[in-house]
Amino acid sequence: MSVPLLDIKGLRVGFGRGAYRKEVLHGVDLHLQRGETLGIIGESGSGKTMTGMALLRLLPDTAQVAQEAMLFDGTPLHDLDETAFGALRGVRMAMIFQDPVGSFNPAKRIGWHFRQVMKRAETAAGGVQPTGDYRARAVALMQEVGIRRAEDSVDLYPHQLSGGMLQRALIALVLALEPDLIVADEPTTNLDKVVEHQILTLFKQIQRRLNAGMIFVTHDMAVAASLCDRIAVMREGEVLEVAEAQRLFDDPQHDYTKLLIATARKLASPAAPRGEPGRDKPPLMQIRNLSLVFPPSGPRPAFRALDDITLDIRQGEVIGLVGESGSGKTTLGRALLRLYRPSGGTLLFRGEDITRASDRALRPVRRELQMVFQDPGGSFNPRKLMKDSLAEALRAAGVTSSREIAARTAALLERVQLAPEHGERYPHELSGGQLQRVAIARAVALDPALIVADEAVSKLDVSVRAGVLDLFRDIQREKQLSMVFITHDLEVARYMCDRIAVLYHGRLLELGPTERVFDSPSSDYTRTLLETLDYSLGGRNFGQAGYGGTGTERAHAD
Amino acid sequence: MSDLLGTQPKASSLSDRWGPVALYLLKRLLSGGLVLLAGTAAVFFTIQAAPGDPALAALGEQATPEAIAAFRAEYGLDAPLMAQYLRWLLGFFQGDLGQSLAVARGMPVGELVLQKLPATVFVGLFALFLAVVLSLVLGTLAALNRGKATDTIATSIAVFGISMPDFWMSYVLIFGLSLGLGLFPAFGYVAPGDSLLGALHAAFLPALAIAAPMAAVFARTLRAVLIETLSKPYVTAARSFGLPRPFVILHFALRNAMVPYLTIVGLQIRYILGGVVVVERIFGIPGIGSLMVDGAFARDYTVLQACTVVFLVIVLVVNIAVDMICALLDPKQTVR
Repeated sequence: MSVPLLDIKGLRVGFGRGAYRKEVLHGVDLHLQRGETLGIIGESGSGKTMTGMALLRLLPDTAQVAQEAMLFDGTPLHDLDETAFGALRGVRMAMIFQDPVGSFNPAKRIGWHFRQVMKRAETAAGGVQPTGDYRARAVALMQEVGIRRAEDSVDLYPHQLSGGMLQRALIALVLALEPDLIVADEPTTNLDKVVEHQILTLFKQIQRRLNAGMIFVTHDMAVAASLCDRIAVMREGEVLEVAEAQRLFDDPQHDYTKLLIATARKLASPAAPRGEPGRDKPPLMQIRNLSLVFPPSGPRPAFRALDDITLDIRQGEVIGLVGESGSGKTTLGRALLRLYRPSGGTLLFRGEDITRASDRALRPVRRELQMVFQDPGGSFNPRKLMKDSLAEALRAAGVTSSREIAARTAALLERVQLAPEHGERYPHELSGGQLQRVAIARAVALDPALIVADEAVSKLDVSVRAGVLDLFRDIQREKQLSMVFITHDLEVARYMCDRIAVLYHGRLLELGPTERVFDSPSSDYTRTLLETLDYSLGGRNFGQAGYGGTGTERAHAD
Repeated sequence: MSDLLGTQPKASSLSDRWGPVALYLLKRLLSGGLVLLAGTAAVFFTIQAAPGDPALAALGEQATPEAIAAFRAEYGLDAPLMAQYLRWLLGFFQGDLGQSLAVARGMPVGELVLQKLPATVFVGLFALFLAVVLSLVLGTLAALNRGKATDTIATSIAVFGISMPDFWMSYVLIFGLSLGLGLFPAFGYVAPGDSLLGALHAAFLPALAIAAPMAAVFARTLRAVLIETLSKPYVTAARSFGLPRPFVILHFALRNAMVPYLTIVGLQIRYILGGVVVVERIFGIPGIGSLMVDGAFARDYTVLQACTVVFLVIVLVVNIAVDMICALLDPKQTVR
């Protein structure tokens, strides 16, 4: 075997000094060959981002980095001073970040970024006469990564392009360098599923073109499986195991890896169809030709967020609203709770018209309509104990006796599988998953008829996601309540929902039982959405040659 | 925005960006006019509500009732207040600010103001320049060396500057740099038209006395904003591409810190004018500030009114100018 492109031994990163020192990486060993893609998988706080940042010396000055060895193409990186390292970073090593929108200077045009990066790479390489025609090269690269109308786009400001286009532009910038090593840090996490799919395909192309070594940091098992030759699993600053991608899925060694894979597989399996609940009963909510126009504000013109939506929400069903960001799914969810006043159409709750009902008239209805938000931390008063937040909800529901409140609070906590002592904590003392459980308890406390859950698991770590979803489902069945499940994640939708409504640009494109929508979608857009499942463990293409770097048959047990 | 079917905006040249800026300017000028109108009324009636009588101030305590009545009739002070204001307003729209009652009795106030304005504008601009330069240096140093000795020193200087009143600062500067070291004159004014260098030399201490507290506020603002922009992902991304540190600081961090920084500068302009009133007096600069103080002591309502309106116009113009600059600096405001 030749000299590895990258060989890291015993990488440690700590912050603070003396008694306040906190180590976040506890001796990480990794190596990478030219042309190979190494996935680093882990949840928030596992140190996976830290590893890539330490490699490119991008950590803040307060970080203390130590290693036994860190060899790049045989050169010990830790011996290099800033100048010598500068000849590598941005020349032979490059990084792609999670937030493409934030990665660009908002005050400068796209072309400016290309000019600066190319100019600097030429200077660093030394000797080469500046070639000058940066614009033409930028346009060519942007075309290569599939940016539409690159000739025009090169003169746009970052805020004029979508996240997906900006991520392509960032990849084009990296292509301009033709680096030997690329560190990609969650490059698709902030993107819609459809766009993520396109960007991952683009990553496959550049892998082949550059023959560079790539470290691909992600929290998503399915993404790692589809792209990586080997996968390293990290938790709490340590590498738990590293294995060939296929071996890792066939024969995971560590319990944590097994948990991650089991969760991913579980979410990849559709829920057992249970007919169409509530089909024979009068619908809980009837939405007829609903439209919602946000008025113009300042220079922004009026915006039609919902357009002629007709839909019934049946008693006891889970209906999924899916679509990319900007499709109107969150707006629809909020309009159902009458958090917005519809511009047209009607909204009937138990047959009663609430389209234009006053806040006072809505008060008894609101108790029956509850919401669970994406960010559980932001939906609790940070200065209140969890049990007090629950008590507040119970009081709003009309429970007055303090003994009953205490008993009901304890029962609610138990119902969402938390211990009584969790009630004695403040929001910041709970994990995201635990907070979301309390949020569910709070919604259930009012004994609602309908819960709207808006991306309720998308911010949670993968390993707790399945647990929270199961809790949602159990409570829904137990209380026979209706649930509107808003998600951009098709796997979550398939796992949870009886029926699926696909939204696109404020319109209802498709509505049907989950199985039917997944098996025979009626609109092209839904088909495009479903293609994104290629990059999931339950997807059609997972396990087929050509997706992984090794090209061999991949683990796909069921 | 959709990547599937979405439409894409067209590239814009700088000339395209003037369109929205010009529209915005028009709106701001209109609302500025309304503010000015309301301001003149507020100033007029506030001055009238203050105790004192210009006739007594001009003619002396021993003036006969007949002489006082004649004075009032001559300057229209016997008319009802509302009528006096409307007459003033009518004159104002025709460029006539009335006649001085006491400071330079009978002289048109417009002439008086034009005479004094250059000194104030010169010292004020000099003070603004010093405040901006000082704050750019101190704020950037503090932000780049956050938590280190340089930061502590720069921040301490800033806290000192904020805490010290400008009149006290004037005397400290006179005591130290003028009487002590003999570097600058303690009193007097040289018109920039006569000798620019001499003018700068003479105006340095008053400008610095006005600039010090403002520089401190600007520096603290810049430090805070710069610390924020330095932690933005685009700074990390720029570093990952190997762009040199000074380039990243200048074109990424400072460039994006400019809009919030300039907004604060615009808001603080009124303190220059407040400082001018006091400091002009101390250093004997023949400017609007001195004229205003003279007018106040002599109960010269027309002079006082004119000086206040001039200050109001300056504040409005500077604020609109700052907002225009910010709009041009921030593509998000002008390019869609």
